[in-house]
Amino acid sequence: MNDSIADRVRAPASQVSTTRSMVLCAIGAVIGLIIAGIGLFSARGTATNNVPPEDIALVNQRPVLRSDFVTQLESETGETFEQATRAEKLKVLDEMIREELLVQRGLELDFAETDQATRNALATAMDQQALAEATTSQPTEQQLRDFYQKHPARYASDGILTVRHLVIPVGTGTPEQRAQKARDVVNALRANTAVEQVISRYGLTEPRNDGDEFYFAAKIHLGDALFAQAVKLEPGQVSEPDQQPDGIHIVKVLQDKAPVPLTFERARLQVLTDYKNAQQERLMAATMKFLRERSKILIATDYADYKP
Amino acid sequence: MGNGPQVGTVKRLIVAAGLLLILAVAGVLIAQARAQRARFLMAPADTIPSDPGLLSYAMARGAPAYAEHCVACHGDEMQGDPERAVPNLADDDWLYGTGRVTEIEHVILYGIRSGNSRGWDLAHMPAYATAHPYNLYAIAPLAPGEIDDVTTYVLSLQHPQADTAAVERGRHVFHDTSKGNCTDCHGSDAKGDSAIGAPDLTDRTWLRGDGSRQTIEDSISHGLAGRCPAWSAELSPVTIRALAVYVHMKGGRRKLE
Repeated sequence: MNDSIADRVRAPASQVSTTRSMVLCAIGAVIGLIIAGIGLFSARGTATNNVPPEDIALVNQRPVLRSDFVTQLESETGETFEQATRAEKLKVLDEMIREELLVQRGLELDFAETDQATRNALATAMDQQALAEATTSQPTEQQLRDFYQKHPARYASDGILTVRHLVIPVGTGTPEQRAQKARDVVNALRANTAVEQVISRYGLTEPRNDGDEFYFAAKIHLGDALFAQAVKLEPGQVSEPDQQPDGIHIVKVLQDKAPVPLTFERARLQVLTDYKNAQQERLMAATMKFLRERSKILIATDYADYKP
Repeated sequence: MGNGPQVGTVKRLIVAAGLLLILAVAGVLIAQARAQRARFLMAPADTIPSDPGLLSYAMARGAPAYAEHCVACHGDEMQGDPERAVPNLADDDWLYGTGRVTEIEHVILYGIRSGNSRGWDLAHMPAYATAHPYNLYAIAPLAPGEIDDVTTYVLSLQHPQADTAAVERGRHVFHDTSKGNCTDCHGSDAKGDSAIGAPDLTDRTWLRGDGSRQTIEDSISHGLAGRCPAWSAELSPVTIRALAVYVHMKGGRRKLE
């Protein structure tokens, strides 16, 4: 009984399962081939004869983006894409393909090695890459506050200085006479004699009278030494005579608004800009460190003291 | 009992047919999605808002992409942040271009002062209270009094100012090509130039601050050079275009309509 049932079931079952296996296997193979085909012909980096929808052309598999095409068309013709004629569109497309071909040929000819303009452009592009990375990431509020607290001197209002700057030029009498005149000028100014009166009485020159000046401008105008003296004086005070190659310089301070620290809120935009600039420098430094570490740089013996 | 194997075979055939049907449906759906994607990418960007199918395709993808990539600077409602000079995208006032999808797409692709050479980077606001106000070419710094006067002049473009002498002095510096040379970017009518991202100083929209004397003076003294990242290497072409349509629909379209 058992054998007869087994025989009855086994024989047709083996026939059915063989057919089914073949069919399922074939279906599986076909599905597999379809998936592989889609993957093969749509994956990035693989050769294809179809232009992806986001591109307007492929030049040796290098894409020319539609959005770049539209931008170039509008910039060249001064019209919107819809307004441009078919002939204009084809002309711009031809120009873009021409450019791509020339760029590819330039790469084949290794212009990066031989052409200085290309080298400059590549080096600049690498700098810009660091900027791009810094621009994409957003610092948190706490990071900005920390940066602000680490660099308090950067975030202050601009100091403003107002001075009268008088000079006893060389060539007017002997050095001793000029020194005496300088002492007289200082005394007259300290006695609150009007500046105009002192100028005419002693025959002085005044290189500039710009009124209010930012500290940086006053520093350029007065020179480092005289500026350093001036910012230590109170309004109304007069500097000591300062001997310089072109004569003796004397400064009377009329007004000095020293820089005042800015609150974080007031300085926030500057902090953000400085933070991003610092981040860009850090990224560039990290890139250079990585490049140096992976490179073999040999230095000639007569420049063995070279250090990056 | 005798019908058992036949019933089993039928059941298996039904299951196989079902699987094939599911596969066929999936295939059709995938093909439709690919066709929709291709149509979206191949359509001229500025025509998408007037195509309901493509518009809904864009909005469905643009909203989450905006939330992920743009909210940090431009805010939940695209309101921007005047403290950080981040522009409001929800109004109809465009710093660059006129709010067309094509223009917005270009900004998202390549950014503004982003380091990408295809991005917008033609000019920025000089910092006139510094020794070297501009890094692209020589511009003379302004004196504190001149900055005060130009500020008064800029304020006068919207509200009459009591100190008319200061307004006149400021106007002179504003138009003086050897001094402030503000007209070079903002134009002799101070209405700005959207080809280089120079704001209109005569309207009520302020990129930075609220139009107060202090914030205008800060901008003249310390300059402005806002940045927007280039997303071309980070986001897919579909996402970038969808974002552009989304931003356009939330703000830019009003000026164009």
